Amino acid sequence: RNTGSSGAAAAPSFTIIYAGQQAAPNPNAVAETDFAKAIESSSKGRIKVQVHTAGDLGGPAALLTAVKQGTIQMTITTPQSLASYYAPIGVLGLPFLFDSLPEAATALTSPAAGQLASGMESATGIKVLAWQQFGMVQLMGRDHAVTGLADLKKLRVRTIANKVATGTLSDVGAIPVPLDGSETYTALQQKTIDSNVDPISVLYSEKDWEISKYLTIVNVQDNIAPVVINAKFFDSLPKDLQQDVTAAAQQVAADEVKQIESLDQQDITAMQKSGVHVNTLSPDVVAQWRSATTKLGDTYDKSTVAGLTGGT
Amino acid sequence: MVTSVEAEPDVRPARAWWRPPDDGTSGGLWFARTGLRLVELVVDVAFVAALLAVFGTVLANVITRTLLGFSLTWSSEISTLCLPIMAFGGGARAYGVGRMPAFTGLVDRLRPRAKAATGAAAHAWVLVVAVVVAVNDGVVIDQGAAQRSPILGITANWAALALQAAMALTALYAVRYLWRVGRRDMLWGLGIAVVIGVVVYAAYWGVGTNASAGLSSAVALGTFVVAYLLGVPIVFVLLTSALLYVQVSHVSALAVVPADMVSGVSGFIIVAVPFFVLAGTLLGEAGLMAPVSELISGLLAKVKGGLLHSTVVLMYLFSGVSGSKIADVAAVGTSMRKAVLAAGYSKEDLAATLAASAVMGEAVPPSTVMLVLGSITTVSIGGLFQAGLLPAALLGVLLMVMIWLRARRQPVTATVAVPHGKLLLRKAFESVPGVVVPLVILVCIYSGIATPTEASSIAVALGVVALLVTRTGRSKLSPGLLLPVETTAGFVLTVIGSATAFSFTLSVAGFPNLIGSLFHTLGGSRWSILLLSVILLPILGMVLEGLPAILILGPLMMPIAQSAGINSLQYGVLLVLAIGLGTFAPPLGVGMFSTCAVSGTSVSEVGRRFWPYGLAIFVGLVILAFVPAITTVVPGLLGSG
Ligand code: NA
Ligand code: NA
Repeated sequence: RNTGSSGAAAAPSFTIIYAGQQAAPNPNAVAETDFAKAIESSSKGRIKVQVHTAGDLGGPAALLTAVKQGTIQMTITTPQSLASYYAPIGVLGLPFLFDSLPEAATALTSPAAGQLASGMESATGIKVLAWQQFGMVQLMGRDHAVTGLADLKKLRVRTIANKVATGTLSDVGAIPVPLDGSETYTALQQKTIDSNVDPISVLYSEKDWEISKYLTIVNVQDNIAPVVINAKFFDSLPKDLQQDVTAAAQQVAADEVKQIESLDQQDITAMQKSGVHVNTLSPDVVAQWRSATTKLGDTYDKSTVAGLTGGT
Repeated sequence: MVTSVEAEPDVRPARAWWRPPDDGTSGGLWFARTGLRLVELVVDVAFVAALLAVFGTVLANVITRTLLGFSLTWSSEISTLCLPIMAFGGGARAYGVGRMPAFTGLVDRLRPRAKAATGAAAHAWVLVVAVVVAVNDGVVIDQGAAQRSPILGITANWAALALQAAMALTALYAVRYLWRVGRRDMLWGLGIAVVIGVVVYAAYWGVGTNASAGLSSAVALGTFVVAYLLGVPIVFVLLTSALLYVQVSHVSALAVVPADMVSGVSGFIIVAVPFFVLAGTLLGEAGLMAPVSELISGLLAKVKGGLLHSTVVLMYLFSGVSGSKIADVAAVGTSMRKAVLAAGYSKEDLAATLAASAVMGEAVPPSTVMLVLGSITTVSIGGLFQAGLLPAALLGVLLMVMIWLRARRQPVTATVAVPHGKLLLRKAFESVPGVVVPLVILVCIYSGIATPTEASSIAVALGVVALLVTRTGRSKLSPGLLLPVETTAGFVLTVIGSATAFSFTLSVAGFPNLIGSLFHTLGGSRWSILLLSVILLPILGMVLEGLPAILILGPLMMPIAQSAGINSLQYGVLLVLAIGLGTFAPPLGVGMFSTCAVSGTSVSEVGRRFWPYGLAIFVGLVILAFVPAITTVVPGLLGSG
């Protein structure tokens, strides 16, 4: 209403619905609120952000679909979810692609990562604003520590329903069991599964450690958390606001990645205190595991992989 | 008001079914009917195919994982792709055969003419909503065309296609309803619908675009109340409010409603819904319950109120097997009816006992509402299944105390013979399968052979076996078994889908914050939250039919309870039971209406007898709220083992 009123035109205002799966105090949930504060201040109130956490607007797939359709504007997602719309970005879910979070952070600023994002944007209308992190994926099991590949034989390991994720396990003789995260604890308790692979923050908040007493640091994979926005909405913003949105998202993401690193360490210490045995898989064994899974990368562009991992 | 005319015996020579009859039916009408039947046939075949595909893969996955050492990683993907077909197809069929629950408490009190007109208005309402959803689903179909499932690489938009087809079929059914009520009532109904539409549109126009959340909520809520009272099926009431809120507030696009319906029924965990419904039907048809019912009735014959006690015990045993509360009520009610009436009780006594026991049954595993609660919150489903056993038993005992207290004042003669010696042994022997089947399902879950979701497929397998080995079962094996399964599962799943869309709008409208601050203002301590929940949740459960209440309030209340330090399992069980009480309580509870419909009784008569039981359940809820151990002791014992 009031479209025809005379006088100075009011500054256009925009509302962003920003929804995610994590609940505070998870850094990815905190990041949503931080983004809202940052952009509301830098845009001087021209952008309002409605923050939704803990999946109250829907599950991961639903939120990504909603961003694509423009029924919400922003979400925090995963390369695996994005890959259902744009297969090449699934490369970021390959096992042993990065050895650490700092290495991943550097790789995600590379031209190769930029090309992946822009390729996806033009194909799907989903734009990556920044790369946050869920953290490096580790293995946590009930009955024994994993020190060699032989320990993985016939181990029933919960994972996500995804070719690369299940292949990472089955290529070394483990039995991948794709399960919903909410069923993991019970499945461990009832011995339907032996182990779980997840980032430390998930293993900790899901309370896997109440049952699983053996945490093996493998760095199987880096669970990246791309912050995405509906490209059509983004393009509809005035140029200065576009810059503000990007700057806010990237600043928040940089802080979030640091947070994840220090929190992972805290969580590991807390789990150790409650009797969890922690071991780190030796580089030799990791190398064996890596070479057993190399064919999983065959479907992805070689030069992208090289660009991400520093051209080796 | 029954207006159907009994058909004359058909003495005409048989004709080929594809030829129009020469009985005066117009060719156009005949084609419409035949066309509709063909469409229904396609929907039914698709339902069966989807069900078999999911059943096969889920069961095969359990077998390969436990016996052969590998898992079928794509099995959950098959389920996710097949569920929407079952959900929306079954939902449309449920509407077509008049099995979409709606609140009819007000409409039933109207005079026949007014009743017919409001009925027509309700169907006109459904017609409009179905068309709006189908049209906006087009966007979802377009967008989904580019999406591939992660392992099998199947195009992801056929869930949205299934929704569009189902909404089109629903619209056809609505037109058929309007056609059938006759021209005069149809015009009245359309008139009412048009007037409401104009009022809503005027309100919308007055409110303008980008209305505040408060104003938009008022429009959506006002329409919710009108549609609910008019007898519009609850699924379409939820969809109406969701669509209106989105449209008035301009907070999102209408396509969010069909998109959320699709995502709401795409989770692997809810595969258990159609499976438990199917298993319950198969086991019911196999007649496993009859010997158990005779045994328990015989054993309790000398106790005051013995047969009503038996009803409670049977409901405890069997509410675990079926996926539908109303199926439980119907199954146990049918098996007890003769003996209960012969003993001098009224059918209203039985109906009140059944409704009260059905509340208890909500917490007996495997329970659909617990499954749904577990799948939409971080609470573990297996944990809930363990946690519910004792609280349900407590409610059962309280109900039996109340039955005993009332029976002392109204002595009733027992007519059931107390079995002795050989007869007792034989009855006990015959009862074994009926008791073993629910136990096997639980053992599969607790021993780690299968997750609760997978256990539902084992229940189906047991049902098939039971049906094939019992003589009564084999004789009942017919395609006629399909429709009740299809419509019940379809209805439950469609409610999940529409409640997902509805809760999206509730969240966007800030309802979670509102409830959160309400609980905060009224004292955010754990005891005040528990007490308030016991009082408020039954009321909310009464207004929103049980399942939507769980879907909307579960994700809302669980975090509030957790942050106040309340054990999640304790709160989860309390939530399920408190909402269950509302669902079965007079005067508004949909469960109460369904119980009365199944038992041929009136809500006012049954309602009067229900209140003492309702009080007993309420007392039980207060005890469960203040004694967490009743809920947590079983999971504690099983969890450490
Ligand atoms: Na139950
Ligand atoms: Na859960």
